[in-house]
Amino acid sequence: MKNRAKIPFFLVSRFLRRGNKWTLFLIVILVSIAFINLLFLASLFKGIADMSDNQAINTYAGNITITPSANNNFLENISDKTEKIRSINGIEGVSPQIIAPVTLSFKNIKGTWQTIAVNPDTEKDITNVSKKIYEGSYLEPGDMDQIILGREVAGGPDSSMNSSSLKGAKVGDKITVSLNGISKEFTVKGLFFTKFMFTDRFAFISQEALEQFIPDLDDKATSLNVKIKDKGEEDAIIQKIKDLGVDGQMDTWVQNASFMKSVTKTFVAISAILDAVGGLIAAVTIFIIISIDVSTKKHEIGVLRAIGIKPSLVIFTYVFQAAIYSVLGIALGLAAFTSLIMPYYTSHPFPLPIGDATLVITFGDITYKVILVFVLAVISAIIPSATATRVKILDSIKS
Amino acid sequence: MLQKNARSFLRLLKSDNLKNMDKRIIISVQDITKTYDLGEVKVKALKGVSLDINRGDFLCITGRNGSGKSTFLHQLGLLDLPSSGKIYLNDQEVTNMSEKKRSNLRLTYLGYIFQEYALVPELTALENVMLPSMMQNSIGISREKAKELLSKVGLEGKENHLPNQCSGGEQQKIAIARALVNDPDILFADEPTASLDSSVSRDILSIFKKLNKEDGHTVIMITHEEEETKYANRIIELRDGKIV
Repeated sequence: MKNRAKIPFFLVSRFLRRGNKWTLFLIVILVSIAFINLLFLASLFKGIADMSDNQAINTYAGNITITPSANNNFLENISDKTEKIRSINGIEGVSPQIIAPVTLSFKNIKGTWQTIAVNPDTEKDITNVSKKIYEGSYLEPGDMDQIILGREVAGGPDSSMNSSSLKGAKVGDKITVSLNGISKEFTVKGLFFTKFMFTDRFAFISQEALEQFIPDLDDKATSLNVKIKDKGEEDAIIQKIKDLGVDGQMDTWVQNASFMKSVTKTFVAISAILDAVGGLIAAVTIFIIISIDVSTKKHEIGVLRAIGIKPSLVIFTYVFQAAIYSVLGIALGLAAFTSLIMPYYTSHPFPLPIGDATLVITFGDITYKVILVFVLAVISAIIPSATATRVKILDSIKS
Repeated sequence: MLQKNARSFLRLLKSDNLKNMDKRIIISVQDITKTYDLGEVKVKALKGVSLDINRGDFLCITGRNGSGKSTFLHQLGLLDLPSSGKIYLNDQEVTNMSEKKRSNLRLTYLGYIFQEYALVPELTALENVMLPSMMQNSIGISREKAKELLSKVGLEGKENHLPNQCSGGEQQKIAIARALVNDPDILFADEPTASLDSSVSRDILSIFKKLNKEDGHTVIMITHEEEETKYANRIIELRDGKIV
């Protein structure tokens, strides 16, 4: 048995070394393309889903939001709470916000938009709004009459909701901010565009600026936003925050932005369908190329059988050869995907209306696709080679 | 289990009991027929052929094209099964054997030489010859046996040539060496010189004669050439699927 087992290895090593190099090249290329197609579809939708999640976290309110318990308008002792939360391992940032329904007037347009008073320094640890300024600059601590506007508040030709915006407010324009019966003139310091519709409908001012309208806000906030290092650890961190005696209603980004989660779920569902379709296409492609290759070896199969090589060894020879093709195709595909395609789309993300998507793939996904392509190649070789060993030897040799 | 059965069968084939047989019949063919089903047309290639072949015979099968010579040889060489009738190798019926057992017999007991050589194109002369031996021996032993046989058929120095780098005669010699590598009792040759010129043909036929006379192989060869039948000690002619 030991002697017989070496026959397939002996034959395949010669077939690969001395067979038609173009055939080998084409088969490996086609297998690698089928493999890349599987990886690309999966990673694109994973990238979109991740982008959608990250948009909710990075542009809206971080991973965890602490809001006042029922019957309270504000969270108190913010400094103390912030200090306690920062002491927890895995916390990236903590920042208070005060959300106020402010009326903004610009030229003859007047409307109410959610305006958020932030600490410009700590807010940078939670959201990336400071990095999404496309005109002007971000807020500084102590800015008393400066405001930054989301693109859908400022309006203009690029705005998708221009009709319900300030219709073209620009950096340097004067805007009247009214709240609590007080009106003050603010200068537009910057305009931002995060691609996250809800955030782009916000305006930001500093906490000091808001105190001009609502006094006695010292150490108070309507929400305390927490950013953590590892997405998915939200519940564990919430428990630790509670254990430290911090009170308030605590919600994860999923609960805060459930609308975004439904978008993600939709993408995951589409991804599953496309993954199945991609798998089917890969299966058909690999089956066709491998089975055509094995079918062209009927003469050789006939000769091997005629000289007494057992049918099972003949089948194993061609299955082993297909396995080598698939390993080479997978290796080539993986190398091209990780060293060319992924880096390219990391530097040139897909610009989607809700954010910029890059390709994201997990080790588990790669492992699954590798196994899938390998198994497909093996099955694709078993069927024609097993069929060929059932054909009459003489018919096989004559073909 | 199948291997064990095949080995037992081969032991039986070569046992002393068989050596004590009076006439030492190595192949016995009993009333075999072969009909090819070509859709609406059924072609009767063999119409009840019976024949006993003795150990050590050099049998030539002659006949016109379409007489059933190759079909007959394919049945004897276990490359095909008859539609009816029985074939015995050393008194053991082989027509009812499984493909695995017949495959083992082709490997160890029979050597088949095709008209068009039937070599594996990706293997060198040496590798083509050593391949059947590798089913039973280590690569080292198989290589030595193959080298020895290639030398015996006059192909010393051509071991590393691929079939397409060899002439027709050389390819046929490789095929002969391959057929001999497991020291089979019976050699089948299907018009082995049909594609070769006369001097190379003589060379090939001398090898067969030597294998028959000196090494004791039973040789069963199809030929069209009357000249070639002089190497045989027995000649049969097939006409319309029957021995005449």
